[in-house]
Amino acid sequence: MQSYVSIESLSKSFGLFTAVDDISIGIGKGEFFSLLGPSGCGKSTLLRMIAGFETPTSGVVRLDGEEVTDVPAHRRATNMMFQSYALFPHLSVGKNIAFGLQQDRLARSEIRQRVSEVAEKLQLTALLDRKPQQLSGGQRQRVALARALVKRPKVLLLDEPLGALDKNLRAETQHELVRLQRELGLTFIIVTHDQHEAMTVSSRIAIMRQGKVLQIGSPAEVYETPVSRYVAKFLGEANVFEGGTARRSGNELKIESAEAGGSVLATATDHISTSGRYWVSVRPERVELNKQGSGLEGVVEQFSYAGSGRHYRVRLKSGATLDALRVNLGAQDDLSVGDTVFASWMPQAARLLAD
Amino acid sequence: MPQPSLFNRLSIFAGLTFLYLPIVVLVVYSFNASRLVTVWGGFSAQWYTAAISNQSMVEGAKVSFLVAAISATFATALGSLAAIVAVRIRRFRGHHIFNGMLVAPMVMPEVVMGVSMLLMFVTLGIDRGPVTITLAHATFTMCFAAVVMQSRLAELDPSLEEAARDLGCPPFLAFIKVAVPNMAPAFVSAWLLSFTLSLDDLVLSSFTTGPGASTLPMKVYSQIKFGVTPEVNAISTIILGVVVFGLVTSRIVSRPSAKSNLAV
Repeated sequence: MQSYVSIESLSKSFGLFTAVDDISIGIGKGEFFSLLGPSGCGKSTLLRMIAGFETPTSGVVRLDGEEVTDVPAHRRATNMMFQSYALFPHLSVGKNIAFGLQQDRLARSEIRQRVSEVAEKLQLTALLDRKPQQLSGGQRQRVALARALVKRPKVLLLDEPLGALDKNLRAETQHELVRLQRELGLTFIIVTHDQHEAMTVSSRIAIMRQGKVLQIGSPAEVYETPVSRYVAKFLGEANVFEGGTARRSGNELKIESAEAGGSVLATATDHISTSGRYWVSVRPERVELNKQGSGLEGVVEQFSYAGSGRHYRVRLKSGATLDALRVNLGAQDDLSVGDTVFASWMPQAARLLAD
Repeated sequence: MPQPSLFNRLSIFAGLTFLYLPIVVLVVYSFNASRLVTVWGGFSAQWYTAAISNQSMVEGAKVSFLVAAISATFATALGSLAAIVAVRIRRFRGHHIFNGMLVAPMVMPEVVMGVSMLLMFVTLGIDRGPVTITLAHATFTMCFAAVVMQSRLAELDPSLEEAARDLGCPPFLAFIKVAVPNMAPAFVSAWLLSFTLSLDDLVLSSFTTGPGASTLPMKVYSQIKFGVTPEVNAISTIILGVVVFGLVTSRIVSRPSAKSNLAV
């Protein structure tokens, strides 16, 4: 498949520091693609190279088949929404939105028409004469979005677009972004450090660390089949134990784990060999806690009530901790701090990790 | 709010008195009807009339205002360029030295600056007069203008210009269209500060002046040698008024706009 945005062995160094280290990604037309990673992982630098604000040390950026590596930002068919929104304080909302069209020397009537179109789409019509300082955070965010969208870019780049919004508004805006992106059929590339946000909005996610891409895949793929312990722990929560000798029966593996202090279940995979070092990872929501029965024995050490679920931290006999999440289905809670519990899970709930 | 202690109240009173009582006395006695500066003889504005009709003083005032206006314009232009280099380019070879030299004239003894400039003008064979005073003032007020511009430029979000570029504006135009309008208050502020500094300068002017070119402070200073008359008080009060007006306007203009905190 021909990629719409194609990043080929792209690197960027600042002096001795390598911010982006030989990254190759292909992004399809109409995708909502996330660059996810902790701060300093190079995701913003990568975005700025796609926008044309940074010149790569080596590598190629292609946009719709054309190489744009050395094309300056003002001649690229990409538009960016900045983390600070970067609205021009001396111009009204309407003039902020019209700014990009004026640079293209479009006819006045067309500028007016396109501004009012996008203003209507983003519910900004009543605010066109205001100055950015007179707007709320959510309104500013919409103006920044409108200003970038009105140019009808091939790719819209969003740098932590929702970082400045409070939690409720953020969730609402995430859905709004997805709706807009589908409606307009545009390609969105978003930079975020919020794994929940990346999972909610994206069609695919690239997880980055120290200038490298660790894994690319749909939200379900990266959550269900993480390639490493780092990815498993970065995306959501994960209990990870080092595995020892494994006994296979059919498709099931029974793994002795000294770290967990007992044997745990997993499914056999062809990819991971159980002869070298390997790890077993299981998500807290897939751990079952029972007062009697079999499994890893431990004591409930901490409990927190999170509304939609109850979160337990269990101190296993081996000394390791295990997190378990019980979805709140309205049933009475029968576990309390200090109780002895047995933790177990279905074999298919666990993943084997080689790294 | 807790009440400040008696000691604090007394010390602030003493400090302010020490600083401002002489100025208050000067202003009050400028309205003195008596010819003696120290004896109150009733209210009168006659010394203002005398000052305004004193041809020599009016000449001095003209020179002063002209020099101040032109040197402030130069200082603002040069100071802005220096500030752009210091804030935007930042880490170039020798930036520490550059930044140091930019603000050095603030603390350099004026006499030293005066002598060095006098020597330079003499060596270059430039006739001394209003032009040389203007050049000297521009040099010395430029560092103040640069500091004002630097602080404004530093708080200007650099992504504003990036946004303009992203929307199709070439880099230089982006600076003109986005950064410059947002620095406008700082330009006014820097200009007014340079203007007032130039207006009340005596030392540099005295060193770099030539025959027939005397600024107002120089005229006042030479008149004092022949005895203080309330006329000097009146002139001083006028200068004071202009300077206070300039500084207050400069402060109001450069204050971060109250509107920016007015999020709806």
